Amino acid sequence: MNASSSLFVLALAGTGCGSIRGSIDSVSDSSAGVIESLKSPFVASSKSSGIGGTTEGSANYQRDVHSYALARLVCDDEPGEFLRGMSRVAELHGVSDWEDSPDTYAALQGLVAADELDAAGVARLRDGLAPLGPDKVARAFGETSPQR
Amino acid sequence: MNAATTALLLAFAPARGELADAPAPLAFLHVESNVDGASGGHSALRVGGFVYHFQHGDDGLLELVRDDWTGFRYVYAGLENRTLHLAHVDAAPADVERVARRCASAYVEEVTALDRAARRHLDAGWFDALRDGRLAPPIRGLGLLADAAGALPAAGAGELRTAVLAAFGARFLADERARSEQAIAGFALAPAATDLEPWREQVATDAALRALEEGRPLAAEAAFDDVDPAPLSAGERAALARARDAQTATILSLLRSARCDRGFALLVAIARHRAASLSLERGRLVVLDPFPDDAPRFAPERWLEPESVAAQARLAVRALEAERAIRRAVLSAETFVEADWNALEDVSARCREARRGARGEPVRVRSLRMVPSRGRVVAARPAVADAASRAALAHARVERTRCEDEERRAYRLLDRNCVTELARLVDSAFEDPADETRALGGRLDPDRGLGFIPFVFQERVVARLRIAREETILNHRLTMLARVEAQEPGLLTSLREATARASTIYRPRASDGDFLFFTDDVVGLRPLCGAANLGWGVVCGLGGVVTAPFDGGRRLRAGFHGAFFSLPELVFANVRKGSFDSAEEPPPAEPPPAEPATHE
Repeated sequence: MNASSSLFVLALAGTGCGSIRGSIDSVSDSSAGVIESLKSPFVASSKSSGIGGTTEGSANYQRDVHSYALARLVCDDEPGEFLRGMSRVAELHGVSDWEDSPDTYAALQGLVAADELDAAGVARLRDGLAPLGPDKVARAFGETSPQR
Repeated sequence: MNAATTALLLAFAPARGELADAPAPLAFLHVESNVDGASGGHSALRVGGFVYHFQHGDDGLLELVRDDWTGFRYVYAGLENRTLHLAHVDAAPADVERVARRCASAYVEEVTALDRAARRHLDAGWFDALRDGRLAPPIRGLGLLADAAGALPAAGAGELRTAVLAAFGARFLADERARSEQAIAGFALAPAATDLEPWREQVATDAALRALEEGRPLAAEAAFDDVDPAPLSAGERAALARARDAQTATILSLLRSARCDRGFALLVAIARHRAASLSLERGRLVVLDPFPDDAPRFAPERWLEPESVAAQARLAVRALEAERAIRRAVLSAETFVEADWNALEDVSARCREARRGARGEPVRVRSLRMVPSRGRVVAARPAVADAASRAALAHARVERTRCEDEERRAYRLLDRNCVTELARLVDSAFEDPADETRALGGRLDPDRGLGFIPFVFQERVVARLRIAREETILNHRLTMLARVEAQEPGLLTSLREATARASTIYRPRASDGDFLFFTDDVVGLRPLCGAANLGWGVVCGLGGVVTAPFDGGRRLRAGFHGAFFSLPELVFANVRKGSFDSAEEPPPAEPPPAEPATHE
């Protein structure tokens, strides 16, 4: 289709980038897509014990946690908001118990080690994670024992 | 298209599952058009295993969507029957990772912002209920466990309680509950505050403690065991015992945590512990229902096409295949991986819903991944004296959020669509234009000329960026056509498959509209085929006028819909491709063996 044909079509239909959520057929399509996505790692050969059962799943989860933490730590959020967001990000990967996931700590350690946070950001991260308890905060910072 | 042409196309455009699965870290995608919302085509970005794209939602806003590549390809190239054109960018791994990080950041920011907006909306609902003395909205997670003893037996409850008391002491649950009740009773909002989430979180924690203390069973509607009735094998029983023990460990860990929203995670873990215990007791798999309370529910009277019932039946078959593959892997794994367990819950529930649809019953649908979250309405209320003024404040905040959202994300055909936002997203991954040019070979300017059209944008990507290779993934019909023509070469086969009514690959669907000829693989004859399609659509539409009193206007709509999307064909443009409710392909000659899950 050339550009003028595209314009003609756009003028006729007046729409693009359509959502696939309008009818039973289209939402069933998206449900079928989710089913294919969920099945795929279990019939592939790259299974591991990470998030989503694959090394790629682990990397994707860690990237999300890293990106989320980096973005939120510059915001002046209400207490608890940082952890609520962590929960929401984890749910995108089918996880509710992110506190005990090694991938969570790998992501946070990566964030600290990458030197992407200034001193204030590091302090906010420590404060944000504080409700998890000193052991988990230490784990997030790659420390051998909790800071007193 | 004849067999030779198709074979040539396939040689340059590998079928799904071949080159498409090769490492392709960064690729711009152009998705060809189809009818209705897809008529302008679509643009997307593949980064590793994800595809990021902007969709124009029913609310008129553009939404950044992230799909798994496998699912995206199945939906767009398979079910929606739209050919995908990929331009793989030659970029250094570090630069690909920058784009991946930027996309992930934008996506999680949007998801968490929507989550905050949803909580503001929920607060407004709560204050309305408090003001009017009505029942308040349900609290997430509470509906996983029964409100009182009864319903399903509380399998494993005694052992779990014993484990908790052994870890924390005999008085632990009673003391924790006393503290929790005190916190709920002492909850107070600051002046002009409307955030009730801390109160709801405390109620969820209290419900979890109560469930542990009283051994409350699963709520009757929170779990099911009727999707895959295969009895548990010895190995599966061992895996379920491990899963149950993993939940015990999770619960103990969460009880040590002071995280504000731990109540929900506790409720999920307790419910999974109960489900695993119940599975062992019954000898068949019991899983939680992960559909959220707000999942759209489609009643049969809202279904437009009778073939939707058959489509649901086919979806159920695919879902069951997926459930069996995941069950095999998850229930043979040596360690419990929550995300894998959740995948089993998710596909099982989708299979169950599709079976309901196949019986002509209402079905719930959800396009995102689901974690069990069933809610329940509670009688408890936060102590708020001035509910009416707080309700007004809460609604004002909802409205302000909505306006800000609209300002930021409103769809505009020319300068804020799936193309422009995708280009801006990629641009924003780099410090400046020079940095982007170094990394990708050039820079994208979606605002110039016709760059907002997906097809034109893709041409610019290829012309301006450093492209390693181009790839075309043919749509499902063309992929299958190549196979059919290879098996039965000849003019008669080509003619048969070129017509919607006689094709052995395609089954006419009302949502595609009435048409006679496929025109996506013919160019010279397109206007002629378009004229025939137009005439056929008009005739069917006029016939539909007569049958409208009996079929609710279904044939009328399909006829004129078909006629409308035949118009571009008169000027050599193709929009309509047909679509499928299931896009199975014959398995390759020697499928790779499915490896069991390996765990460290």
